[in-house]
Amino acid sequence: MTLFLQLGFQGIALGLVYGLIALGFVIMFKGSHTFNFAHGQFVAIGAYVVLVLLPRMPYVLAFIGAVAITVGLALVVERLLIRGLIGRSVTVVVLATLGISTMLHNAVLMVWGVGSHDSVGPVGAGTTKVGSVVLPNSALATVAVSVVVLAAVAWFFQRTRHGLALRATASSQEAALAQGIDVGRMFALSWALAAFLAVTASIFLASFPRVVSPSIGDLALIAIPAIVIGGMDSLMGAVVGGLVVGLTQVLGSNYLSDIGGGRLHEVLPYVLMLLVLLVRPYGLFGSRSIERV
Amino acid sequence: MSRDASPASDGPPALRTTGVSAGYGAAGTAVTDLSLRVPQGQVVSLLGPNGAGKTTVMRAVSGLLGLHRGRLTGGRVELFGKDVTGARASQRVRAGLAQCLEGRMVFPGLSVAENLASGGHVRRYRGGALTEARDEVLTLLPRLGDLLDRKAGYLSGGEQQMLAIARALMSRPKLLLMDEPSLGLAPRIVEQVRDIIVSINEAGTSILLVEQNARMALSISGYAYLLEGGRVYAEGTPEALEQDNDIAAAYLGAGTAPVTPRGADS
Repeated sequence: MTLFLQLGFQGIALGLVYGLIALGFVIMFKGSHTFNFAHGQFVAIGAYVVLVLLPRMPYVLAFIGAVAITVGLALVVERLLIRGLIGRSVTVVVLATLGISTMLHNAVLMVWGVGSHDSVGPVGAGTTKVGSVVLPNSALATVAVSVVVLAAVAWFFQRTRHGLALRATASSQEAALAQGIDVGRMFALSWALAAFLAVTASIFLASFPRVVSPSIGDLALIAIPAIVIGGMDSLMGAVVGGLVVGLTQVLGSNYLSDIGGGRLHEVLPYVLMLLVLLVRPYGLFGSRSIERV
Repeated sequence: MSRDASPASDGPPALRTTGVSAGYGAAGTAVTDLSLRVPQGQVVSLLGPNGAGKTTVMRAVSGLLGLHRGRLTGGRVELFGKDVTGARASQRVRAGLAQCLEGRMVFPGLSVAENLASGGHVRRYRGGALTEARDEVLTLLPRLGDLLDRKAGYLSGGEQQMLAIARALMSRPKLLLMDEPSLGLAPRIVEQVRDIIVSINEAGTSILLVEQNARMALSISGYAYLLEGGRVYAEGTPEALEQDNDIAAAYLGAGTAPVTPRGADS
């Protein structure tokens, strides 16, 4: 039981990190109708920028610096490329983001090489005992920060003028424009928000294998099964999907370690994704569209 | 109700387009050399068959052409004397323009209250001011008051039209564009929509009304333009247009039966 609780907590922590990344995907998808395959590279770049800044300044400043740089990068990509492709087919846009993803990935390799670096998590390797359950401090910090960030995002969407404008834009660009909502600005806002979530996720994701390496960008693509499971257009679904994937991976890596050379847990999220696609193609929380004429 | 066709005495017209041409890339020109005027305080209608370019005129005025990969190829658009030809849609809304799009286009996943709040986006209402503006709008469309928490996608067609109108009023517009507000509605609801348009106008808002239902539109307009093939084919007061037998027969329904009296259940 103790082991299960420990693993469960780890799974939730990892799942929340995936949830942050998945949420970014969904926000961009809803806000600008773009499925951004380069999002994983935003996560990687966030981690590397923290890595570079960390020896030079306090943690909070390094984090803010990484957010600023990654958000700036996201805005440049959105402005130069995505907005120029408004009205083009989804395939064109998706291929463009795949191209950007490859470019950013290779930029990371050129600057920082293929090697691994130490984790950039905000807390060290210590543990905290809760009853008989031993929890890593990094997981505790991950859960605490993720919950706060998710609550803040929910508040932003539900309670602020720009949050409402973003939801309106996601619902119908034409109707949003007709209300005087600057849709171009909403595109930028959704990308900036996604990039912020990517950097937040990156510092915690880097504390799961406890290293920063170029593969972190690919690791972030695990958010894709999370989104499909939760529903492409549901913010709530992104977080739930992230949790499902995180728990599956952590529990699977322990309890199923005898099967398939111990790699089965890496496949399981995709198996779940395919099952959801077959049974409920719009995901657990996605909408089939409730429009009525 | 203003049926006064003479130019309003005070200030520049709410809307003036001068020689406007617009089109959608390869699809060619949709509107050619179009000049029209909405004097302040009036209801002006834009009539004509499908494909005459009515919605394109609306988009040229509101700045939504770009979204449909369309482009203004010539001419000038002025709102209250101010040149907005190249302005963004949001700037035009700030200049006092609001619109009800064809097909209502409420935000289906948002509640009625949220739809209304989105209509006040450019006004930056805070707390009490938002409720105040909403209450003001709801005096005109009281039925929406009971539906505030309902998702807009679950409203009936008539309720959605009321919501689209209410949402547009949230920015306290001086000029309201309405694209086919009666489309697909039951005759009784069309009567209600007509009465609401009259009330909005009586409260001081100028209106440009696009309608297929020419009879309804003319019954509340001070002036009308007939569009055909992207050009103004005829224009004048409703009386003048109805007296022209050719026009009446071709565009206003055969014969010139009297307009349905207000409040009648047809």
